[in-house]
Amino acid sequence: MNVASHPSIRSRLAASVVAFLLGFAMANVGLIVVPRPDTWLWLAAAIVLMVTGVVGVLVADTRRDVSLWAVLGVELLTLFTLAPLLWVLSTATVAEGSRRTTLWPGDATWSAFGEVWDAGPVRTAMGTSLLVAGLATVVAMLVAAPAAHALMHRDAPGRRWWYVAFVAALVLPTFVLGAPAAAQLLALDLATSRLAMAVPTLAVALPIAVWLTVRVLRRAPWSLYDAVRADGASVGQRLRHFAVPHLALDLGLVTILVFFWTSADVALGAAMAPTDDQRTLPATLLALGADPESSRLVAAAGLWWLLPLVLVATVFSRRLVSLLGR
Amino acid sequence: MSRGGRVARTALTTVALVLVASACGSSSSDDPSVVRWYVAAGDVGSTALAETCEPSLGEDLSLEVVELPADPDALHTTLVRRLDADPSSVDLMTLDGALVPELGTAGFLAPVPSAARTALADGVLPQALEQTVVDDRMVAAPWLFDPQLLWFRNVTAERAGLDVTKPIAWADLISGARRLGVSVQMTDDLGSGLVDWVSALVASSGGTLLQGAGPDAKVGLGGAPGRQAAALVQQVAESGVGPGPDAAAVEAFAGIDGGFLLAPGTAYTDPSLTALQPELGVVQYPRVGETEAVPPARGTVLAVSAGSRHRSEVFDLVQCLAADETVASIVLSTGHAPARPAVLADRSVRSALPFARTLAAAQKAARPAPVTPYWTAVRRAVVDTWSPISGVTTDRTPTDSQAAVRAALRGELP
Amino acid sequence: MTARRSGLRRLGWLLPAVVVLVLVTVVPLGRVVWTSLHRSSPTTGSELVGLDNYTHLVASREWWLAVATSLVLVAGVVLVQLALGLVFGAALHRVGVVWPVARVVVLVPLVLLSVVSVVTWRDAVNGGFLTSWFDLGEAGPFAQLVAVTVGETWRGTGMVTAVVALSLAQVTASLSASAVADGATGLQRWRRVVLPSIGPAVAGVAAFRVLDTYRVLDGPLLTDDPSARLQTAPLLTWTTQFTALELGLGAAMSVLVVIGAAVLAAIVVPLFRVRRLL
Repeated sequence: MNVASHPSIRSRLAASVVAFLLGFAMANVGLIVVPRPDTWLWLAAAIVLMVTGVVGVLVADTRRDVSLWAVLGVELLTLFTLAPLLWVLSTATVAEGSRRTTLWPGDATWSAFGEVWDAGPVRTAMGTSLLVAGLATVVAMLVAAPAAHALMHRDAPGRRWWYVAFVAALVLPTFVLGAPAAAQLLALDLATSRLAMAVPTLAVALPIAVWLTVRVLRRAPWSLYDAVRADGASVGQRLRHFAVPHLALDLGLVTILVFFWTSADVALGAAMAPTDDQRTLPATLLALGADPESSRLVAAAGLWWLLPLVLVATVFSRRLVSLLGR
Repeated sequence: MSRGGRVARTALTTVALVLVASACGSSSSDDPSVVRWYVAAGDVGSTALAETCEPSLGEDLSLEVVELPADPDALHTTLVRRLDADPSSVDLMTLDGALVPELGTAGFLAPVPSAARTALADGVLPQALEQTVVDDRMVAAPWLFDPQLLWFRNVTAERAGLDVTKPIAWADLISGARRLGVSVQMTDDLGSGLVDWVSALVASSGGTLLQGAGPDAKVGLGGAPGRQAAALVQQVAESGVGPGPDAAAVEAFAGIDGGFLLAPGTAYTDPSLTALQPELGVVQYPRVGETEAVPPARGTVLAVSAGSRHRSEVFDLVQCLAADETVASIVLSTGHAPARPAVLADRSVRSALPFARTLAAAQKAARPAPVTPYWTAVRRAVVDTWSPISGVTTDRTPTDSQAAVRAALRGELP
Repeated sequence: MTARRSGLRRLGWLLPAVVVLVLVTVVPLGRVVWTSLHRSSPTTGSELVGLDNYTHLVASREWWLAVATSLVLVAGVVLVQLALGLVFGAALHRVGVVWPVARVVVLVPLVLLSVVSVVTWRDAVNGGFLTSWFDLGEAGPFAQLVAVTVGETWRGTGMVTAVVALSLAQVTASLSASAVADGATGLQRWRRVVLPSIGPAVAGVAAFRVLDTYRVLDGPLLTDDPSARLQTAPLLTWTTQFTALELGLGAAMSVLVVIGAAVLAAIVVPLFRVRRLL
């Protein structure tokens, strides 16, 4: 990658030694302290680190463009990210009534993944979340698209301040809106309506929708649009030759992101629902989570909810990352 | 139309279908022919009672028992928010009498119709009846009234050198238990064990936890009775005779180190004690000084939601549930004490329930939670300042607790 | 004239979003301010008390303790996230082969519902694998709060990592190469070339993490214990509103929390020289 800076032999050897010692220490801790079967996980990680150390010594004096510090960093990143995720899976696959004490999901039972789909609070909550966050997302996208368009063009007066307002709403502690939203719904006699919960939820959906849509429009090749327009294209042609190929996919991804961002909000959902059968998914999981016996359901529901987003992220990962990170 | 347009249209249709589907799958709490009876989780065998008394609702209505959380804070919030938002989704509630002033003041509870009043109020213990009256209107039916008693194994009391024919003092109880290396357990029914204990100790020391109903009520924790209560709590904590009020108290009492148990009559029928029943002895709640003890008590009432669509039928149901025969069967099967002493005086109950006399005597002396709409706030403040009991000191806890309760009454942070 | 008219027309495009924004944030916040001038409860009624709630809070030790706890948690979480994110991001950048997989994997913790993360991290020390690994015994509310805070750190680190890796990819190789040719040391290259290029993006994500961590509620809520003295400001606000049902006092707390967020933003944005988020 970065041809200019070749790692020195000394830095490679240092990284190798650190990796090896780290692996050695982990192997010892794994063998002495950690009970089985997690010992094997520790040993596996330890072996990877120790092998890194050995390989590092072997390649130290070559012209290969490999930074061993970076390899070590990536290995630690993998551990750091995946170990807790494995624990979520272990929690979800424990048998009903018992609690998981090992990181390794031994004796896995998958019943929790089915149970959350059986009629019950979690399924109801998924429906509620789908309805509330879905409706809020649709409305937010419908108003965010023209707003982002206006914010993109320099001639809208005060556009910068409006944009700051949307970004401020993005980081507003939304839980403070919970109580007034609940009170307002109560005053309008809408407290038992799940549909009405979508309106206060717009406070979560709209700012992220505007922010993301602005990013999409910023990335779009507007010179192409100007060219299309200069050619005297009709609105339909402009849509077909510019909007669909260059915007549609990104806007679709944004819609998905807005939906999941909105559906992840826990405070508003918990605050607005006066009764437990009206709670959104995170609020229901919050209530379920108070009892450690239900952790398996919480974890299973969380993994189900994660699945579609991970699929989307896998398929469109490059696009998503450049959308979010650039 | 282009391909993109078709995709978008299909996506929109799908979203719309999903939304419609989930909007239609709304909650089942709208069925008008169902009467919903809310009970705290783990409460008296409501399901069995529901079957006994369901016919009094008439043919068109069916009864459904709905459980509320067992945690007192969660129960309170759940109930208040539901009654506030959707009063018609609640018909009948089994409530701790301490909650009636608050829910009654808010207008959530239907006044007892005059036709039913005599049947529900006559012969009821005055302390139990007092809890159900808000602004001179009776808004709940007194049902059960459970004072705490001191349970022990006969052998243990003997070996501890306690004279069970006379009222037992806390000091003797603690030292006796300590000498034998046995524990003094206290129940924590529905999370109110600690506040019950503190208020009983204050009352037994000649004080009153709370006097008056408004936010300016007089708090009685800072003075001599409060210090005396704190001294006793501290003594229990330091002597290591038990963890204080605890949800697993009855099981611990049944265990090998169990010596004494402070619990209402329901302990007698607890599954873990059935084998021990023949060896069990029971006396009045221990006294603090020389004066008579004031046992803590919980009143359980039946309250009808003001939003109920079937008020008169539900009051018929309440009359069935509170009828002497029904209550007598509850007393015999669960060990609960009735709000109407006549039920305990009945010969068949007396002969079947060995401790009926002790229970009746305890009921007379017992004091339930103070009548105030701010009870939940007071309870939370007391629990916050007196737990863990290992942190209780005579010079700090009473004054801290006094300040915390006063702040809670005013709706402030401690 | 025409420019002005078209500018106003563009403002019209903005209008629906602005109306919705006002409706769902400004109006409820106004309601919060109004409620905060009352002592109000769903059961015992409402009475106007003026600024009493505020004067009480400003003088309340409990409140400032909660605010301090929040700030300590935010500082701890964000600093660790930044440190880890910089290290991991740099590592990912140098091991380019794994980037296609890594860019999905690092973001998975972030898109996992935060409640799920909280519940599982709490369980990890509450009889879970961390308990059995390190013989932790009974985990009190404090240990649970620590675990949940670590979980929150775990959730956000991926975001910082991804942003760092992406911005490093944009540091032009030629610039770096010419710096090397000029004989710049590693540290000089880092300060003069790398930091200025990744700075804006990292500042943006850091500011977002600060404000996002500040409002975290579910973690403290799930480890709350009546005897626990450690409360964050959001948790205290929440329990005041939804457990104690003191809506007026809770509303005053909400106002102070929002002001706190504004102050935090006013400190963080100039301090980090945030321009990217905007």
